[in-house]
Amino acid sequence: MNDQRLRLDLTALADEVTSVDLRDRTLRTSRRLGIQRAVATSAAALVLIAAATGTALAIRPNQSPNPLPADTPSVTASPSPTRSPSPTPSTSTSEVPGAPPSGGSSADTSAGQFGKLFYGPAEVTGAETSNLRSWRPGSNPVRLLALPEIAFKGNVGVSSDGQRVAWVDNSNDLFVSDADGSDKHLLRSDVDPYCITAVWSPDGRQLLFRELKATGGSGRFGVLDTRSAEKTVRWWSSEPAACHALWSADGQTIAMNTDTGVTLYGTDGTKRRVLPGFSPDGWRTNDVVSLSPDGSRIALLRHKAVGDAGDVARDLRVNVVLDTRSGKQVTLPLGGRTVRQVYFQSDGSTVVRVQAGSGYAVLLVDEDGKKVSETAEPASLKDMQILAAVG
Amino acid sequence: MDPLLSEFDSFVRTRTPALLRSAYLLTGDQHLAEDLVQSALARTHRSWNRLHHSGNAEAYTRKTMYHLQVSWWRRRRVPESMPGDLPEPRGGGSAPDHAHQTSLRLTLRAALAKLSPKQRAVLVLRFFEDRTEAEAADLLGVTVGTVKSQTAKSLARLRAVAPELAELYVLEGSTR
Repeated sequence: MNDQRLRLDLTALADEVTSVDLRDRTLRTSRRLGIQRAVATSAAALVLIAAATGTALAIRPNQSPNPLPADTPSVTASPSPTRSPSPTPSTSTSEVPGAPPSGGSSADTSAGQFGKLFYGPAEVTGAETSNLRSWRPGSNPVRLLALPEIAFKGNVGVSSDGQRVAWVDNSNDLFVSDADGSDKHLLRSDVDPYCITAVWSPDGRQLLFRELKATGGSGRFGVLDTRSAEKTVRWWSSEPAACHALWSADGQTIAMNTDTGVTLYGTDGTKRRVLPGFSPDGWRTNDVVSLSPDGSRIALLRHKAVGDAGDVARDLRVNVVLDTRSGKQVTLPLGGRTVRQVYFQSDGSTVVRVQAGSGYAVLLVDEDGKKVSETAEPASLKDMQILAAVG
Repeated sequence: MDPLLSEFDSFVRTRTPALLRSAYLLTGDQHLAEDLVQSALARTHRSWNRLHHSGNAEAYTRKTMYHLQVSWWRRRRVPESMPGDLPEPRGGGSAPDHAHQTSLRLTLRAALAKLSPKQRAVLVLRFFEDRTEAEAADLLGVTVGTVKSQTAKSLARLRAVAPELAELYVLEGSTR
């Protein structure tokens, strides 16, 4: 194709647009963004004040109409950013109060080995915000805090204990809050919302992020101590050309997409090894999803070079689990079904989501690769995707 | 008037036309382009204290614009089409040339509509804004390798969805 001709034609096409004065509209939008941020900040402050007077549950703002989950701690009475457990609310935890658990077709009674699964919308909804949901097989789904779509699409991260959620909003601000939306804090501004998602360290204290340079480009990688008073950041000395980070549960390994494949790093950004099996003309991946506790296996979306190279945003679908040393595919006990998502749990087991009829089922697979149990997902989660498996 | 606001006003009014041109190629629609530029400019305004003396306000705005458009969702899962109403073509010229150019724009416009947002973005960055691969990678937040592969795929896709356009480009290119 003649590049110069294409340039000229694109220029001619661009001539079709009519220039308009966007000054007033821009300032109105900016004010709206500012108000949203102020409301969020005020809401967090109000929660702290209310908690201090013992009325947090009664007037907690920014709440979904559904009750809080029983295992979500409420905020403390202290204005300190640190949290401590407090009595759980006595309200029902399910989306359908009083209703029996839906989708309860567990194959055996060992479903309790499942961790808590966190869900977000799988497709564009058109809504400015959507609610994070959690579900533990054997119970009902729980509706949690509302997040902007950009968080679900690109960057929301759930801490390993399932208590804290971190995300970057449309203004490139990194926030953290409890899973129910309380105790919300702005941690840092000018954070890249797409390339490096907000990745929690296994101890739930630190967040790996990437800064956004004033020029608009991706900048340094930083590990932010969320519990330090100064929100201190340990900056990596290197800036790998990499996106979509995963942090292994043993705390030793960070895996990221690089070029056409995956590279494993130390937690200081030191490059360790490249996952074999990927090349520009062969298998590729632009999206990593879950890393086993010891970094030996990785779940990701693999495709041939002729496929879509992927968007900047992450894709949490999985079609293969690979050994990170040999690059060989790890067999999953799918029973002839198609794998949709895979998450490694900190105890070494694996949650595998498969297509089951018009919906999905989740399998619990032990370290030896054997299926321990299987549970059908509630129909209400059919249009959602798993974002994390914790606990 | 607040000097900062005055500076921002000036920035908006001088840079909007150029931003709209890129946004129009990204979205294929006047109103969507306006919304996109407006959203990006609003975020620039939120950071104007920091940006106004850096000289990088336009780069920041463009980066935001591309992120908003390209990454707003994983668009490949969402049926997408550019709105069908074409604005009246501008400019004069002889009737045959005018018809030819209009036809060409129609074809190119339809072909662009069949690309993914990211593929469109890569083409706009590389062939409309004349960005290097490294600059395009930086703006999109991806690796240079991804830009290279996306560019190749975008051009291949363009040839596939509009073979008549490809032939025209090749024919005209071969005579030069």
